[in-house]
Order: sequence, then structure tokens, then C-alpha cells
Amino acid sequence: MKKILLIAVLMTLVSCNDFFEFSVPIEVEPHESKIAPGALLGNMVNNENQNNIYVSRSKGALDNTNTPLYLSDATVTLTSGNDVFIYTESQDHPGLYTPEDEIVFTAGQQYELTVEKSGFQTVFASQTFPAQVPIISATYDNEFLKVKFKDTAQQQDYYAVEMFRITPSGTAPCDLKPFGSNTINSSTNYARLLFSDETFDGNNYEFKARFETQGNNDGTQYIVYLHHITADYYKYDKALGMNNDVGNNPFSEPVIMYTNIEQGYGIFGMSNTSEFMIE
Amino acid sequence: MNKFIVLLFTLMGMSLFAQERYTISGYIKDADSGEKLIAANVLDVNTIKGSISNNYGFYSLTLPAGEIDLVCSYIGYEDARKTFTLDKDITVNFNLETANVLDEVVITASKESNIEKRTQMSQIKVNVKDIERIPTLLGEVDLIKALQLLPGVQGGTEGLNGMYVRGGSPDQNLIVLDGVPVYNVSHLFGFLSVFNTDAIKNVTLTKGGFPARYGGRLSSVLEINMKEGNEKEYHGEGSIGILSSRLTVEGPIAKDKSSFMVSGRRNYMDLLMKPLIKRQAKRNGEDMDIDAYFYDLNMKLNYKLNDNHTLYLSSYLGSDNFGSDIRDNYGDNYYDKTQAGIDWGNVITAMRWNWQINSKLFANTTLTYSQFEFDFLAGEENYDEDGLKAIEARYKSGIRDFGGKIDFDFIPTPTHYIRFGVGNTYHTYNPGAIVVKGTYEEQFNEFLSNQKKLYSHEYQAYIEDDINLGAFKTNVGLHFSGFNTGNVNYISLQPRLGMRYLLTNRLSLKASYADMTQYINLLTNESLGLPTDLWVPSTENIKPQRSRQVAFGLASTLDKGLEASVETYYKTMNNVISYKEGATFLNQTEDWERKITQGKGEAYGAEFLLEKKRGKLTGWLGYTLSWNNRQFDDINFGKTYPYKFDRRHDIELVTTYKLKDNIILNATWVYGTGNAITLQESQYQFHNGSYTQNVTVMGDKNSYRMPAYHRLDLGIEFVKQKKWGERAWNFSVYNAYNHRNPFYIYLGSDYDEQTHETKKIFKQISLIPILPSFSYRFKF
Repeated sequence: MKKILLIAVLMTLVSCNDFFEFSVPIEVEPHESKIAPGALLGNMVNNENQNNIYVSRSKGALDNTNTPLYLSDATVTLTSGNDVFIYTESQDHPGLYTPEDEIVFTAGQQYELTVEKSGFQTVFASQTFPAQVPIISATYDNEFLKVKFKDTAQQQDYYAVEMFRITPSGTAPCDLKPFGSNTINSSTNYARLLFSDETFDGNNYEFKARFETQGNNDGTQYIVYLHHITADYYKYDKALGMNNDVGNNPFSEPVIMYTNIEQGYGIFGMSNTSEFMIE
Repeated sequence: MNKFIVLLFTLMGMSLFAQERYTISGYIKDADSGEKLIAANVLDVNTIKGSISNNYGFYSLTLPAGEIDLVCSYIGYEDARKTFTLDKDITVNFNLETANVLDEVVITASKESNIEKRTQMSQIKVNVKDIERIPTLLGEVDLIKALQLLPGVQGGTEGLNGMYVRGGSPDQNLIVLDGVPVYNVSHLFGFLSVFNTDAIKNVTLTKGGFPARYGGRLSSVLEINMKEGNEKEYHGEGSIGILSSRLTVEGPIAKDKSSFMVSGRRNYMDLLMKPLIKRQAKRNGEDMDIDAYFYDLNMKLNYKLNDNHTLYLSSYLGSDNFGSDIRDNYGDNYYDKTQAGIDWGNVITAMRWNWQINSKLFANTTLTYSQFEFDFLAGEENYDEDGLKAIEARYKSGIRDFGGKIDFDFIPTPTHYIRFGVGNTYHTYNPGAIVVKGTYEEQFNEFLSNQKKLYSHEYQAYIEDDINLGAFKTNVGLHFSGFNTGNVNYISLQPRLGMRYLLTNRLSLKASYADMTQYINLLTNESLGLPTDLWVPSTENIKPQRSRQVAFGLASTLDKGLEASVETYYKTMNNVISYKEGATFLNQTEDWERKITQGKGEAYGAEFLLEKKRGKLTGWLGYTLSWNNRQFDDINFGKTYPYKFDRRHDIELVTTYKLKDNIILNATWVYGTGNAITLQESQYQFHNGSYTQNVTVMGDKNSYRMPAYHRLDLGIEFVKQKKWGERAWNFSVYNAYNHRNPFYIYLGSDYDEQTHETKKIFKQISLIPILPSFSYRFKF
């Protein structure tokens, strides 16, 4: 009996060593770098959006190098029927490609983006430029911004709203906050709120966002933009937001990043913008 | 009302036959303890007509008048035989003597009559005594882990109590203890289940071909019945192990009339850790106290009012408590104090009334209560010259049920065994309330984020008939269920069918179809079996889950105590739920309905079971070949993906070898295809004019396979008869060849001392290495 007890105690002590963790390296297939353009194009041209396209490359999850991820010397081409729009790389911002000429997009027309670079698979994507949706009215009080417009029936539409405050000292985006479960913050442009027509398809709709005016409004004007965006734009933006939120949280469900780029990553999205000045 | 029921069924019985027939009925019990024997066979050798006992040991057999040669049999017991002339309705009770099995160990994954004779397919009855011999983690006998060794049942994460049956998720298992649903089966964060095997009488797992009496879940029904208590004399049993000890006492309150069973178990991790932790804290100038224990208590009473009426009261109470309390004293009276704790537990109670209305009709009325609560607390106190400042955050969630049901067994002829019943359960859900109280800031005085309580009624009615036409047997049934929550009312009609055809005397062909509906859902993180899992109802937005399963099989008894079966199944599931991409169960401020999405599931495969029931070497070999996929519009861009526990191959070998009368060797080997997980694939940058952000790209959902899981467990048991009873030493080694099985994989880094570089690397965390243990069992 004593021997049995002794063996039992020894076995228990042995079992306590390294009980909770021992790690083993896992082999995964090597990653083949891909082209990842970021192209959100539209007819609203301002300082932030000049229809530029940023081209990145991907690197594997195990890639330790600190080499910049922008991709220089790529050939970036936007075509629509017989129209070809050439992009050239900015001298000041490697990886940022700007159109050589101003582009005027036509609603209902299809545009194709191609990015080529030796050593990489050529990537493609196409989008149809959405129709402009006029703002019927826009008002604000000290609680809400309200933007009224008519949605097109029997098609899935996606929108983005943003507002700028115009004062004598300059123009600045307003901090709009979502109201209602259908609205999310944009992750590609923090001033925007995104929503779909899931609950009001084909009807007049009054979009509401929480908004607090700041200080003295004398002499202040507000300009509201309603962007009619493509489905790919919306899906990418939403996924990017979730991707940012999740970070490295092991308790979150993984986010599969959206892309509409064939053979690559990234996004080609389009938006047609209407504006309304609130005096 | 009672007279009406009696009249109704007497008339029904009369209409089914015109010839002069009489009914033999009674109870089948263990002669030593008086425990009722479930599914024991009664056969009239002259007419080759028979019946089986129900869950309360009651049987009924209606035969033509004449000479009767009645044999009662049950595996592990000596046959009993009674001959008499049948010329009126009579009561014949059987008290079966335990068979002399000294020269062999009988280990079975299924008992009852031969496998090919049964209509029911996809059902396994587990002998609790066999479970106790299977080598275990830390010497703790565990029911759920034993069930994971059966074909068609997969364990989830290593060491935990997940049960994934034929492609289903854990919430799709209806686990009932004495007829009461148990909502959380985990002790010690899932490393042990709440079921104390000393208190359990029998266990039945049904994976498909569900008879109409079952409902409410899609994938399995696990019925666990507690022992009723020895009616003849006092007995006890218990064990002492590394993690916990348990003690069970049973005996008569009034001999042959009333008995009790009480079984308790407590883990003593806190008792071992407390002194060490306190001493260490004291060295650091702190006072520290910890809680780290679980306990459970099973109780059962029964009282036989007369030959026709018996009352039962059974109850389970269990709780896990983990927490710490650290106090840092300074000055004469001042201190800082932090506390954190996590507690959860179940309370269940069942009151049952067995009523033998007449010799052909048996009723069981049950009132049930089930409660699961989870409580998390974190707080901080600071007492100094400015006075006391404190803040406390508390999160509570849970579910509570009140239920009632009445079930009838009606056996008009040996050809028909009709079951029918109705029931209703009133659910109250608490999907999570956070309360923050404090004195630091005025606005913190009381902040309440309360996901509002939800209430629902779930009701059901069923009727089924076991029809015996000789070589062909069938079970036909219909299950009706409804669910009322808020302004929504769902109803569902679910046809059920089971068939068996004897191809030869030892080989049968079986088929089944089952349509199932599930109204309550478990929101769970797939990777961890945390008790923070939430039970929530179907609502206007969340539709009930529904499955359809069809199965075909062959079953045969071979020579040398071997039984073999093969079953194929195909199951579709609609409205299964999952967290949306990016959602986390930790975010309690977001409405739970917005965090989840519904989609489809598909599971199909084949299960093989070869079982050796007799001889020195016994056990079983199980193999499952399966596919298990999910499709959600909101996940993986709508593309179908493998479920996390999609396991192409799953093998279990469970063996027991009786070396000598008092030495039993045990070995278990399991192999399973690795779990499907989502790994980070790459990253790139997105730039929008003014800022650049890194974008993480995950591979397709569950596109990476973890390495295969395999493990060998070994055990040896030394049994000795003593004057006062029996004792046994059990030594076991879990994961005997120390295979590093994957628990989870993460993206980490390694520092290379030669190159002084930090290298990114995927690392697999393995949890349980080779782990020897022992336990001591005794019976008196």
C-alpha cells in the first residue's frame, strides 16, 4: 500500500510540470504577394479625394521585413468603352497614382480598373458608375441632421452622407453620429456615415444623424453631401471597419476582408455625389 | 376526467381486438436494490410475443387466454421465468438477480435486446459502470467525455465538454436529467461535466431517428436518469481523486415503499492553493484570499403510495466559484482592495407522479424547474484619509424554466406500443445585465446596461406508435410544437419515422426520418466553453432552427459476442445561428440580436461501430467519416465553408481486458482530423488621401486545418473485496505518448539569439501533456 501511495504522489508531481502551455511552430504555405489597389472614385473632387488610386502590395502574415508596402512603377489604367484614363505615380507620394486628366464619370457607364506590375499577377475590377440621387431637403437642429431624398425602387442602393461646416476661417467636416441600426461609420472616410436602402427601398426617405452644433453659428453655413455609392464600396468599407475593430481580439469572430479585385486585394468603388447647402 | 381517460382507453383497447385476450402487467426491478430496470424484455415463449419495460420499469403484454411461459431478461441479470394460465388480467412483477459475471467484463456501448432487433436506430445506451473504467483526465470519471468516444459524437476543443453530434452544435443537444433540461453542463470551465456518475442510473444518447416524444433540439437527446435509491438496505459508494472526491449514500426510508439517494461531490483546488497563495501574498505585504472550487449535489426520493401510484422528487444543485480578493494595507487603517470573481451554476428539480391507470395504460406527470445563472464581479475599494471610494461592476445572465408535462404509455396489444403526451415550459431569459456602482464619480453611482429580460412559452404534443409486424417493425409518430414569445407565435408539425426489417435472424436493415425544430439558441464563442454563453429565444427576427435528417443502416449480431452496425445519415439544418463576423460576446452593450446571423448547415457521413460485449477482452471500435458545412449570407461572403468541427475522420478504440479477477486493464485511443480554423494570411495598406491604414487579410473562413488530434490513454484498476464492501485503486495515464495536440493557434514571434532578430511565427498551443493520475473508489 505504501508503495502505491508513493507512486501515486510521484505521478501527481510529474503531472504538474508544464501543465498549461507548450507551443509548437506551425508551418503554413508561403504567401505570394498580390497587388492591392485602393480606388474609391467619384465626381466629388476635393483636397482629400482627387480620384487618386493608392497601390499597395500584400505581404505574408509571417513576413518580418519592414519594406514599405506601397507599389511603385505599376501601370494603372482606367477604361470605359473606348475611353482610356492614364494614371501616373506621384513624385511626392510613392504608390499614389493620379489621373493625367480630369475624369468626368457618366452614370450607368461601366469602368474597368487594371493594375499591372512585373513580378505580380495583373489585377482587374469593374464598377458601374451609380446615378446621382438629388437631396430634396436638408435641415438641422441642435440634435439631428435630417436629409431627405428619393430612393430608386427595386434595386439595392447604398449611400454615404457627410456634412461640412463652412466658416470664414475655413471648411471642416462635421462630426455626425449614427442614429438607428441601419447606419454605420465609414472606415475609409471618418466623416461619412453609410447606410443601405434595405428598409425604405423605392420610397422617399429622411435620413437622420445625431449632430450637435458647436458654439456660435452666426455666419456659419453647412453643406451636405449625399453619395450614392456602389455595393462593393459599401461592403469594403463595412468590412474594413470591422477589421479595425477586431484587431487582435481573440474573442472576436474573424473578419474575412472584402475585395472586388480579381487576382488581388483592395477595392475599386465608385460614388456619385449630390450636395445641398443649408443656409 | 380520470374516469373519462380510463373509459376512453378501455374502449380503444377493446376495439383493437375481438378475440378473448387478457393483459399481464407489472414492474421489473433489480432484486437487490429494488431499482426499476429500463428496457428489460418480457417474452411469452409460447406465442413469441413480447414487450419491454418503460422508463419506470413498467411493462404490459396483452395475450390470448391460455398457457403462458413468460421469460424476463436483461443484460447483466439472470433470466427469470414464470408459467401460469392466463384467464384474467393479472399483475406479474419480476425481481431480477444480478448475473454472475466474475469471469468476464461486460462493457457495452449499447445494451437491451440484440441490436438488429431494435427499431430505434442512432441510439446508444451507455452503461455507467463501464464509464468508470475508461482512463480519464486527472482520474475524474466524466460522462460527457465518455460519450465523446462514441461514433457520431465529437468532442470540440481538447479536454473540454463540447458535444458535437452529427454536425450539430452543442446547443442542439437536449440534455435532460430526470426529464429536466440542463443548460450548462460544465464544471471547471468545461474540463469536467456536472454529472456525477455515482448518482446516475442510466444514460441514453439518441443521435437521429428521433421518436415523436423527443423535441426541442436538432441534433441529439441525452437522457440521464438518477438512481432512485436502494429500497432494501443502506449502501454507499465514493471516491477520492486528485481534483475532487465524492460520496453517495442510498437506502430505504420505509422498506419496499420509499427510498432516497444523496450524492455529493466537491473539488478542493482552493484548499490546496489557498495556503500557498496566502503565504506568497503575505511576503509581498498583501492579504489575499481565493475561491477556486466547484460542488454538486444530487438528491432523489421516491414514495410508493400503492401498487398504482408512485411519487418521485429529484434535484440537482451545482455551482462553480472562482475569484480572488487582494487587500493591500498601509498606514494604520488604510487599504486598497481589489476583487474579481466568476460564479455559475445550475439548479434543477423534478417532481414526478407515476400512475398505472390500468394494466394497459401508464401515465407519468412531471413538474420541472431548471435554472442556470452566471455572475461576474470586478471591484475596487480604496480607503484613505479622504474616506472610502469604491467601484464595482457586475454582469449577470442566465435562463430559468418552469415546466409541466404528462406522458402516457398505452400498450393495447403486443403489436402496438403507443406513446402520447403534452407539455409546456415557461422560459425566462436574462441575456445579460451589467451594473456598475461606485463612489468615484457621481455619474457612476449607478450605471445600468440591461439587456431586457425575455419570456416565452414552449409547448408540445406528440403521439407515436411502435408497430411490430414480425420481421418488419416501425415507429410512426408526429410531434407538434409551438413557441410564443412577445407578439410572435411559431408552430411546427414534425413527422417522425423509424423502420426495421429483419433480412435474416441476425441482420436487419434500418431507416429513419426525423424533422426537428428548435426555438431556443445558445450564443457561444466556438473556441472556448465559457459559462458566459447566453441562451436566447427565437424572436420576430430570429427564426426557429429546423433540421431534417434521414438515416439508413445495417445492424447485426456476429459470433463471439460481437455486434456490428453501420449507419449513414444526411442532415440539413435551416436558421442555424452564428455570431456575425467581427462580433464578440464580450460586447454586452450591443443588442444580442444584432450580433448574430442565421444560415444553413449540412452534415452527412457514415458511422461504423464494432462492439465486443463478452469475454476477457471487451470494448468497441468506432469510425466516423463525415462532412459538415455552413452557409451564412453575412459570413465568408455567403460562400459555404466547413464548420469548425468538420472532422473527416474520427476513430475511437475503447478496450478493457480482465487480466485477473481483481486486475482490469483499460486502453483508449482516439484520432480525429484537425479542426478547421481561420488564420491570418497577409496584410496590405489602404490609403485614402490623408491617412494610411494596415488591412489584415484572413484566409477564407475555416480554410486552415489544425494538425490531427490523437491520444492514447491507459489505465489499470486493482479491485479488492473487503469485509465492509469493495475498494478499487485506479491508475491512469492520459495522453500516454505525450502527443502535442492543438488547442489553438496564434500569430506570435520568436527571438533568435544568434541573429538578434524577432521572427513572426504561427504557434500552436497544446494544453494537456502526458498526465498520470490516480483515484480510489469504495463501495459499502
